[in-house]
Amino acid sequence: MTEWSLIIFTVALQMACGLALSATLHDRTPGGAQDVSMRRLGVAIFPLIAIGLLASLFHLGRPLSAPRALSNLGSSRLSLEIFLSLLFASAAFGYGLSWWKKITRRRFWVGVVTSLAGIAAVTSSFATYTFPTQPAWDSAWLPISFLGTVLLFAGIVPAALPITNHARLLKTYLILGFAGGLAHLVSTMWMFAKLSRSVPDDFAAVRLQGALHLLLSDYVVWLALTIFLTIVLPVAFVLRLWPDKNGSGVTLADKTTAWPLKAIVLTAIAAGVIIGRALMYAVGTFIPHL
Amino acid sequence: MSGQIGFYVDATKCINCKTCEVACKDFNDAAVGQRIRRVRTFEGGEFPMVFAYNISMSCNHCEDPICVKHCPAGAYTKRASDGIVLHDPERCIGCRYCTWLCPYGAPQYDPKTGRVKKCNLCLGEMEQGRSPVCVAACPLRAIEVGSLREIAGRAGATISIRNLPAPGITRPASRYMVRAEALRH
Repeated sequence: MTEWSLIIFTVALQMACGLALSATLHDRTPGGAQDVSMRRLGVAIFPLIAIGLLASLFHLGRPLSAPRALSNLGSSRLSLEIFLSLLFASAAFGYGLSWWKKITRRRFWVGVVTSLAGIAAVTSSFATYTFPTQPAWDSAWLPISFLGTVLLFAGIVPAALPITNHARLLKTYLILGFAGGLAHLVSTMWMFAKLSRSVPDDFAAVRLQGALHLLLSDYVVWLALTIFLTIVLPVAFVLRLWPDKNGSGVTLADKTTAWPLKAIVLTAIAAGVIIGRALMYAVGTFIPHL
Repeated sequence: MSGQIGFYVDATKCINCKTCEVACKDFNDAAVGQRIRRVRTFEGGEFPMVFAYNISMSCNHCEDPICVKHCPAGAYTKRASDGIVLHDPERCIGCRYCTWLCPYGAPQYDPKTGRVKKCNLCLGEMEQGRSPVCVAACPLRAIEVGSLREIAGRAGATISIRNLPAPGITRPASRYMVRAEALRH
């Protein structure tokens, strides 16, 4: 696997975008602006995207020439991806600073701008991969997977933290996390439908069949693992944390699941996303006969 | 010569000796594993009607080159005078995006230099009035360079070949003479 730097970059970008969304949501909740745990998440957005951008430099044969990657903004999707990621990083810096310095004035709107910049960056990121010359990637499963990862992190991470005494907000996060898991399910099914499709183009057919064969033979264990960690585990986690009503009819957040267990689950889900991304690169750049 | 130029390869003559590939590699000082021109053998059919054909291919200097459009560093240019797609190694940042985009695998990455290399139609040789080295080296005289209008007009010339990408993606400027069984259906 030679694309580890891009795996870190894309996953960090999506995770940062998800956290920006959840922090912005949290800011709108009464009392949410003063929440200590959410403050940590708000501050973490910029370092995350910074780590992703730094990791992406290691993908380059000549990292010191990286600024030149913005030379072709007019027509290159890769140039646009890098530009929008830098824009997102700049917005995240300001947003993180406002959490760090506890500046609440207009922070919600900075969060909205940061989230929109993040979504734009993620959108340009999947557009970079969807080309007819890479038949395995040139399909809706890839955008669904990228956006699903954003939702997964937007929902699961804050839901696991001890920040949500507001049952309604917790439910919103859990629904986002559930939607993320569901998106990964749809993406996986769509990917199999794409790879196993009969296409009239021999070249595309050979590549699609090669990718399918690779997934179902050499990488089958990793495939099963990523399905479990990004679909089954998040859905089970959401069901476990879903708030119940007590005898008086008051909705209560889950207090029984210990934090170390939640941390293990979060780590496992992140690992699942990373494995899934590694598989994406493996099937996409697999060239059987060229 | 004016207008788009390209390679014409008579694949019915090709015996897969790979002299073109070796000459290209030597002339361009390509690294180990860096195959700027490649001869590929494709097989097909069902016993007893089996067949094989050899395709010698480098950069096709496409009419709609996806590498020129999407290189983030602007390292690729297409000359207006003859349509040759040139790669500037000084501008290359080694992102390898072109190696993903090109359906023909023409740009070849060298991890040692951190840059990509590809066929520039031996521009220096052409400017001296000589042929590209692959053309000069082929013992079967199977490779030529000519204006696209002329080579595309030759009887049987095609770029719609089995096992190769659909030509509509980048509109390659190369043309091939192949046997009937090697044609795309």
